Amino acid sequence: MIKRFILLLGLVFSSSALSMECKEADWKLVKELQKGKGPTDVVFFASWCSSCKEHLKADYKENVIFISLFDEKNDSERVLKHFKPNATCYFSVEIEKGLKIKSLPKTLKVTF
Amino acid sequence: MIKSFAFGLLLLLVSNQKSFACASCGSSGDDPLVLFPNEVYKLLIQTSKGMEYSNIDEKGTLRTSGGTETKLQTTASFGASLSRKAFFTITKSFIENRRGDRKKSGFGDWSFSGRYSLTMLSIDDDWSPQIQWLYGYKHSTSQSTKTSRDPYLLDVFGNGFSELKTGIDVWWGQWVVKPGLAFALVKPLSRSVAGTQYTPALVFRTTGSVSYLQPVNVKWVAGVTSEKKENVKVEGAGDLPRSTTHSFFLTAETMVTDSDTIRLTYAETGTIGKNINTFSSKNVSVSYMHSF
Repeated sequence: MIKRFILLLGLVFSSSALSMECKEADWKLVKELQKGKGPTDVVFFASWCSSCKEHLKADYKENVIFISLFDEKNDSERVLKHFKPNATCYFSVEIEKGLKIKSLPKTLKVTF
Repeated sequence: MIKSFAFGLLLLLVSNQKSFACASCGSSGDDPLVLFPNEVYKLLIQTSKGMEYSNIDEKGTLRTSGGTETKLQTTASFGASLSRKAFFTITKSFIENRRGDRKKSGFGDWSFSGRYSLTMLSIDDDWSPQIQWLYGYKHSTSQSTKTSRDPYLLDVFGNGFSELKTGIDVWWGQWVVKPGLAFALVKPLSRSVAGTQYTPALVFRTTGSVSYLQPVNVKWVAGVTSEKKENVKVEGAGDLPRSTTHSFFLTAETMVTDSDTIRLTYAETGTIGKNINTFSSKNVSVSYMHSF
């Protein structure tokens, strides 16, 4: 009984953590994974960027994805889970270099 | 001077601003260049004018300066990040001291500084501060009062001591008004000049600041600095007395592009509180920073 309870707790916590995993991706992979989803707000953020907070709090009418830049992966996941627990999130693999993004916050509207 | 500062502010306000809240920076003191976690390399060019120099004696009385009346200084600093949490900078200045028609110029000391973020801001917790460990080394190469050959000390471009520095900088960056507090401990290294050994004691420097990001993305920082120097022991002679200097600064800073930042600073040294065995001056500086 106790073992089952502990197993259940483990499943609950692990699924909770997995629900906010920022998938490591370059821009090419992001485009592939978002293909066909139409106009999308792309929000670039970092856990330390206080000016990014308003962009994470905002309500988006269209599709929205969040891309973590200049940050540690687990910090980004923790922060995004706090503001948008069900959001789609990517952890940048040199996306900032391809898009020439040098500062935060940054938002783009993209039709994938 | 005030007019030029106001004109600079106007330029900031009408330019195309982009900015974001940042670490505790702004005093343009011994850390004129600060790198943010998104920056890899950064260059600073700063030009400043110091004026209205006066000496302050052991009783705190203002005396006419017997030396420099105006100081023009151009500073170049280069910074590189070591990780998201750490960076270092190298700084060098070119200084021109003026008194009436007389003037002398020369290079200031080399300065190496760095910061390591012990904790970063985390925007899911409004109370989480950024805590940075400060470290630095200043290598004394320039002329000081102990080696000066000018009757008005116009050839003095440094204090004559190499220095080690360490400290802590705490900054709460998620509130509308962002407070910060920095404490630095400076250890000037002993040196011998013409057979006389000088052994300076510790220097304690405390800076308190508040910053505010308005209007239209201009970041304002106002702060006060208190610096206390203990006695300098001079071999075979009496100690040089301790000194206390209180200063304040006001800066306005904005990003004109994603890579370019302009900062204006107005500072007064030795003009607030009780100051002894020091000097007072007024200073205006303009800084341009470019990140690569």
